[in-house]
Amino acid sequence: MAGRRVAIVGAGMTKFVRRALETGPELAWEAASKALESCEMTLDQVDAVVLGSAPDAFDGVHMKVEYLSPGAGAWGKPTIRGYVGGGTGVFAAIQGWYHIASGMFDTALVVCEEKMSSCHPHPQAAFNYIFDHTTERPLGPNLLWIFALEMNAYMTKYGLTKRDIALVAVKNKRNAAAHPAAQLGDPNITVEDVLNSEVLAWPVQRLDVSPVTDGAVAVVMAADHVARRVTNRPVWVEGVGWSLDTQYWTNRDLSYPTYVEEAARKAYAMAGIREPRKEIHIVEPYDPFDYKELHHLEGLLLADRGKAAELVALGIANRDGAMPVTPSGGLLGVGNPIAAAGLMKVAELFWQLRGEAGPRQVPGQPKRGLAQAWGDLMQVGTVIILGI
Amino acid sequence: MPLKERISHIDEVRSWQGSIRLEGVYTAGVAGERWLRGLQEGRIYGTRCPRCRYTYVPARLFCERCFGHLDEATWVEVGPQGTLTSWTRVHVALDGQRLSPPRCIGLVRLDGADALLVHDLLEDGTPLRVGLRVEAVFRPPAERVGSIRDLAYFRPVP
Repeated sequence: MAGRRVAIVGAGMTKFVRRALETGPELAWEAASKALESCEMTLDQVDAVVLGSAPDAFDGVHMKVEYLSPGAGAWGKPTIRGYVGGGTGVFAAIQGWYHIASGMFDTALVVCEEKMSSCHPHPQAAFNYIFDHTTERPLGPNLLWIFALEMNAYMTKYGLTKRDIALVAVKNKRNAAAHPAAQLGDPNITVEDVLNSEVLAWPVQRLDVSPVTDGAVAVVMAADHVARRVTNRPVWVEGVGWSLDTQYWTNRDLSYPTYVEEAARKAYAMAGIREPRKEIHIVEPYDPFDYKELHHLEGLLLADRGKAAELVALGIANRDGAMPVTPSGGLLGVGNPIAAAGLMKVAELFWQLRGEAGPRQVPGQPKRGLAQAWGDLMQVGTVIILGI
Repeated sequence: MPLKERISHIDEVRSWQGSIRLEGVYTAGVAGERWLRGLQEGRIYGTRCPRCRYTYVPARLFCERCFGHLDEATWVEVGPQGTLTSWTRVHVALDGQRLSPPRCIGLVRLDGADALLVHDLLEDGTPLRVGLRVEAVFRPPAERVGSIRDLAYFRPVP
């Protein structure tokens, strides 16, 4: 383990909704103040702030983190923005870790916010500006192209069916029914519902995709000596890793997320994990699309290539299965306020490992969990491993 | 929680409609300039890194793998035929409106290239599948302006 030991000692989040009345700073404040309340800390005990948020265009405010800073408790404090697109939520926690592991600070408040409803008529249009300006943007690209091409390549390579993949959406939306903050939990959803939903860009259909969401999540991180004073159940950061694939998205192996494997290998090495399938008890992989959960489980080396769908089909990935995957309900069920969605996965591990997840609690007193996110131009992998 | 559960119509709450008006003029770049002039002539070029043995399309000025300069000697013509590596049929526009007819997009590895090119794919009734042979179709020479749109689309090789 590099540097000082660091723990997460508190967590809080807003409800995830399609359109919040709250402004971005108000959402950030609600999540951040709940996280501090959860560990009975006050703002003056926070040494530094890490603020994670995805493209400025979503909130429609340039220099968005400065805009959000009042709600994140950043006034008068060293503050940094974490931004690796969809990978931001997990990366912000990694930044919180190295702020403290380095010895520079004893505590950090990590806040992630996204208010996507500000972008009209749909935040999808903002994604047009991530494509190459002379060779792709003139084609009028749509982000769904990438996912549809990737899902098709993945299905074709391994002979997977739409039904195999739709089972992920069913599992996660059912899991989310037990999450008090969820936007799209549904205890009765069936695979037919997914297969009959509107086709967006074949093979991607409406219920294969996570929704547009407003929301915020925060965690409080602390150095060993502070963490033990604050709580008798600190949740330790055991490993972190992140890696970036090529910006030329067409040139990647669309059927395998190499960038996730690179990030996972760094995190496993740091945590001293040799057999991740045995040593990771809960997985929260990034699931903005149902096939991406499978893709990421393979990149995390938790399933053989092309075989992750079997974990879902056989129930191994269920909340009470041998390797629970996305017990929170994930982006597909809880919702997808981009940066906040990744940190929601980190917060879920915090609650699960402390046995505080209520009706979502994974049985068997899990000791170690992994959260992963994915982003930038679909090319970054960010991984964190937590344990008690 | 103090959040309003559902805001179905934006006029239920106080709000202000605003936009950020910005326009850009983007240069195609050193390699891009020449690459787009190539399209205007009806030719697709790549640059091949001699060290990594990797051919970039569109042509690039440098290799991101070894950081080598991809100079004059590295320019090679690729295609115009290639292989479909994935495809999608897009049914919605960016604003959520249904597209009728849907628009077909292909990811193509041109013969002689390692990198893939994304572009429109003409549906001529040939069943689409990964591995299908396709070819580039250019606009008539008089209509070409040195843009990615000079390449009209890919279509299945008859």
